[in-house]
Amino acid sequence: MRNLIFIAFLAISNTLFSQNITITVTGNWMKTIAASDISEAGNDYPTTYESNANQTLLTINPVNNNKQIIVYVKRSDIAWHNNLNLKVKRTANGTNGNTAITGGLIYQTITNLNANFFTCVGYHTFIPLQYEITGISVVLPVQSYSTEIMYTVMH
Amino acid sequence: MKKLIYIICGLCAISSFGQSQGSANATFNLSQVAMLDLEPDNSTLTLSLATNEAGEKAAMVTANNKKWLNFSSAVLSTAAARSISVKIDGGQVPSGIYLKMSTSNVMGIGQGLRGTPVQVLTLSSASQTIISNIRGAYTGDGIGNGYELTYYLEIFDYKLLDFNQSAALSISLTLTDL
Repeated sequence: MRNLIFIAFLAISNTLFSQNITITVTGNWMKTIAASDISEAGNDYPTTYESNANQTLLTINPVNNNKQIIVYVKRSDIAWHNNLNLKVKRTANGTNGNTAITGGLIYQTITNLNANFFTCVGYHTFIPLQYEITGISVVLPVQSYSTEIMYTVMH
Repeated sequence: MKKLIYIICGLCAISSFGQSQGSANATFNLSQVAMLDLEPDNSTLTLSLATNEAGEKAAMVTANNKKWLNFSSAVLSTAAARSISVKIDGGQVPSGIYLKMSTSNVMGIGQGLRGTPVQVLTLSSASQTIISNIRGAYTGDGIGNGYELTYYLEIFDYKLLDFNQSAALSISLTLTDL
């Protein structure tokens, strides 16, 4: 009985205090859409804007280097418009030479629901992400449109 | 006792899963836009009156008297609607005639709130609205997009006509906030 209580204590401590995986996200995308983007009177803004290929960097650090990690992505809107379509893709594997990473290489729309982005195994540093936005138009009310892109890692 | 074992197993299973979250922001700052253009260009139009035979009524010689008005407009949701106005900026219309302009309904590939035209106006040195209630919109670029403007002459007093008289006029179109 005493042993069981001890094991229970360890398990609870482990659950509460250990963090088996961490993700570090750096790099926002802020873009000013200027009137000079319109080539000539009568035209709308370009249909697509694209960020730098390494606009956001993800570092994933698991305690267990053998488990598959799933990375999910979703957005949480701050001020948004339904016409806007924000997409994300992974442009490389990261900088530490770990090639155990799959998926996420073509643009996928970021919705308000968590969606599978890519999977990987082990420690990855500075995985570069690129964004694309469509739907920006003079038809939209002039304001600042903003959303928070949430990355969740799970294993 | 059994319950306790189940709880321990459950906790151990939970503790073997891990989750973490991070975020980045995407922000797009849209600017106000007010762009106006004439198509195919803003070259001079020549309008003239003539008769084919003595005794006949003078009429405007058919010529290329049309321009297309293209614009792009982006406004704050709280801002007033925009309008396009026209006026004679320089020169004087010869005596006995009016210079008139008709504005078509909007045409082409544009989208948004492209406004409401005033069909026909007699041009003068006073600014007059030809299209009102423009908000976020674009007309499309080039001939066939936006509003077709047609200039023509109308005789209102024959006795004032001087067939040797000609005038060069400068006409300006302005896209403004109301």
